[in-house]
Amino acid sequence: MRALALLPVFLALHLKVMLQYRADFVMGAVGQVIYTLLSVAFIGAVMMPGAALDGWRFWDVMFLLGFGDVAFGLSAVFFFRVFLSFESAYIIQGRLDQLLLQPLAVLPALILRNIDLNHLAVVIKGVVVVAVAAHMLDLAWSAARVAEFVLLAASAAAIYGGLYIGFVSLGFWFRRRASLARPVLSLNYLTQYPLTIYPGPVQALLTFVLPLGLATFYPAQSFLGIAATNGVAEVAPWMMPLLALAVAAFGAGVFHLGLRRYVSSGT
Amino acid sequence: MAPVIQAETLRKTYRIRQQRPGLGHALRALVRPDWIERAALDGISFNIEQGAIAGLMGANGAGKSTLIKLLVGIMPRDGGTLTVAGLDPFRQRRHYVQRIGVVFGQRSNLLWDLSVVESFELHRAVFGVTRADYERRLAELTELFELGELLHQPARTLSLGQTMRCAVAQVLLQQPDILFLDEPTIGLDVVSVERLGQALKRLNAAFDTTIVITSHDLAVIEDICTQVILLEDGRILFDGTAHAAVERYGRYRRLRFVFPPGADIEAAATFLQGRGVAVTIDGPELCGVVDAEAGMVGICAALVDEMTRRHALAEFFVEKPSLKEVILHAYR
Amino acid sequence: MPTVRAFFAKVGAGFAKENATTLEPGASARFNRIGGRSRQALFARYMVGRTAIKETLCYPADVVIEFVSYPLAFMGYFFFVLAMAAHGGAIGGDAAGASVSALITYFSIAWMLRMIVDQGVDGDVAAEVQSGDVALALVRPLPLAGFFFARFVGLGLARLVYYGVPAWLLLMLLFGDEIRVEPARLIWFLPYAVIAFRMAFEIQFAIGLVSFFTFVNQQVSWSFDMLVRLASGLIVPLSLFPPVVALWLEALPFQYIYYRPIQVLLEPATPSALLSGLAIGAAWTLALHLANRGVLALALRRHVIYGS
Repeated sequence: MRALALLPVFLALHLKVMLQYRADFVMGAVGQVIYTLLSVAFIGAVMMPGAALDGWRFWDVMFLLGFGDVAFGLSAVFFFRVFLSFESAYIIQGRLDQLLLQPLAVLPALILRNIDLNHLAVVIKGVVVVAVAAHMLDLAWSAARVAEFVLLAASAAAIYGGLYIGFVSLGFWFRRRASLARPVLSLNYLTQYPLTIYPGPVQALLTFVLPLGLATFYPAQSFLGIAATNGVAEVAPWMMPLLALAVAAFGAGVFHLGLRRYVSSGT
Repeated sequence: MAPVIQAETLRKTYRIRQQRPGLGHALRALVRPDWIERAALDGISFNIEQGAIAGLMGANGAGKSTLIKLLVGIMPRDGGTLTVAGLDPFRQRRHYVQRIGVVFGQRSNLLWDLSVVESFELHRAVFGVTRADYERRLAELTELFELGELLHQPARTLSLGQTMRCAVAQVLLQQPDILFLDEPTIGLDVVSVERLGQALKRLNAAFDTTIVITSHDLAVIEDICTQVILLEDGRILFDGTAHAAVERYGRYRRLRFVFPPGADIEAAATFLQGRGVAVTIDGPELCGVVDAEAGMVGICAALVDEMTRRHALAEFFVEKPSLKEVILHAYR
Repeated sequence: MPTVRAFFAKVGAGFAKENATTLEPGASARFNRIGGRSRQALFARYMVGRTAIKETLCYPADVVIEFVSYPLAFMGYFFFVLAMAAHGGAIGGDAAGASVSALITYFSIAWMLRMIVDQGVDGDVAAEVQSGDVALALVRPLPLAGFFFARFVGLGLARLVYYGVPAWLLLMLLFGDEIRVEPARLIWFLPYAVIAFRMAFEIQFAIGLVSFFTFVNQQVSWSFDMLVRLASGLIVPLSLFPPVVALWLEALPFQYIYYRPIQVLLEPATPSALLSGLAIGAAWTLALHLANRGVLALALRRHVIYGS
């Protein structure tokens, strides 16, 4: 795919832009730190030291938090800007037409142009939290474990990405002024915590319909060796990449359906 | 009677931050930032009388926008004095804006999603116009600006020309003494510009409203302005009537000789140059300039006669310089 | 009381028909406090607020979408607390004796308040400054802060109706047995809530004012919002923080947006304590208001208005 070949070109470009707006990056990083403090403060205030929630202790929950950040951050680098601005910039303002005139597949072009390296701050923060939590949990990091972690994180990021692209594609059928970004991003607030705290229907929603919970909770659970308590079969690490590909393919498929409709109906 | 707008050695300076590339400079800039100073207005003085329609002209960066922002009171001045309607625009802004109406060409002051009349009602509430005054004024303005069916449409459905008419009408609801228009004709088609210009003339005639317009559009300025102020590099290059501008800088006439295809234009050009008329060749035409003095007509007639007999002249034009040409000429 | 009724009657009559005369400078001496200029200013603000509500009603889909994002944001806290409670008694940390009911009630009221005051005024102000549209606001005889606050009040009332009420119903449905409010304490709650409302505005406005001096974008706003969330007790009641942190936070004004008003509703307190708390909150709000006024005056002197 030509897009892959162009990836380094676009990455360099975005890096240059980021260096121009250094202050933005620092501000963003600071914001991320404060946000983490919020989450830590809440969980720390409410959990008794030594208490466990369905087998999840304080540092297990922290690990989940960090893992979620790594997954979200990775997906955000590629998909965040598209998610936020697709409807207003590309459809309403018509930038999509410009993309259609280029000798590059539309979806990869869209993603490459909207890479947001500022979200690396989220990834870094997540890695730090994971490292600290793992240390407190006395987790051993062999090469295989690191590889497993990377694979799970990348799969989770791909699932997030597929979901965002799917939502973005709704813009082809329904035109609104406000994007669905805010509610969908709010879902991340829910997946910070172990899924088991939610009632059955909500768990099902976050596992099967909007698989954000599926992306982070079950992999983290099996990685940490915590026994499953809600009857869902344990998700083995090797299943995640397959699931990720499925979700990503689904999201891309919805996008292309929408694109075909857009092109055939004229603007 | 004192002029309604009085400016004396008005000065405004901008400090512009310099951003140099590289990490070293970026760090140093945190402690000691680089500033350069630019005088947007360099001690200008002028007066505008009540009831005048004044046009502020100048190239981009000449100081037009700065001047209008000082006049409407949203920016403080750095030197000199400025009195409008007896008030200091910036220091007495809250009272001052009650007496003026301001329209910025690139920005609509109408509510986007709601009807024009709803915008007007909000405007009336904010400016404290009584219901009786408002009804009467609305009727007057509807007629003046031909607002008719526009009143109940949401602003987002209006064309640019319609938006501008409604926007100007809105700020006239409080019966201001002075109307300020900053680039009101940008993006407007020729017909809309004409309509707006005529409406402003009628407004001025009926209510003696002073109007100050900044514009690039020389046609509109030439058509309706009684006073023209030309700015360049923060200084006033010319302040007077459009007529006076043309008189002062436009004491010449442009001649155009048009020839049929195949004619020997070079020979014609040589001939004219021999007679003391500097000409340039422009395709099938020769363009020349003569001073507009007595006896000019006779000279032209003689030239035309010769050209027709000897050089197969097809058409001939004598043109008075337009304001645009005069301005451009004045810059050189 | 006759005078109060007369006051409202006068104000109402003023709104119903034409009220103020066209203003002229120097005429202010002729008008007394109620009626004339004050009434006109009030009417102007009323119309600004009313227009703001009308504008949001043009996009009902947006209203629904924004509503949906709130429960998604706060549900996690509720379920986490309930899950923790299900695993043995009292909640942990320094919360000796903090009951589940108190926490659930706390979060319920906190998020109701949040839905009303979280209006992104900072973003609105920054957007106007960056696009240069602030010039339009400055050529009106309504002060900039007054304009934004009028919108804030109007939208706040609207949000109480179409966000607050449905949210309360939802919360009662889900956690009804845990939510307990003493009706008697509402009398003290209301003035605290008024202060919380005004203070939330002043803080959002202050962040927006920063855009006069430097380029403010989404991230800066978001970071400050996070800080305020932390310091105001929205996410964690201040009493659950370690004492040294709580001490610092209680020296700051942010607690008056969520923590203090809700504590009034949850905990019994002496009238003198309640009064002094109210006074301090009012003093903080006044201080922020004056600071904003000063910063805005400075900003207008220094700021270059962009565009054209």
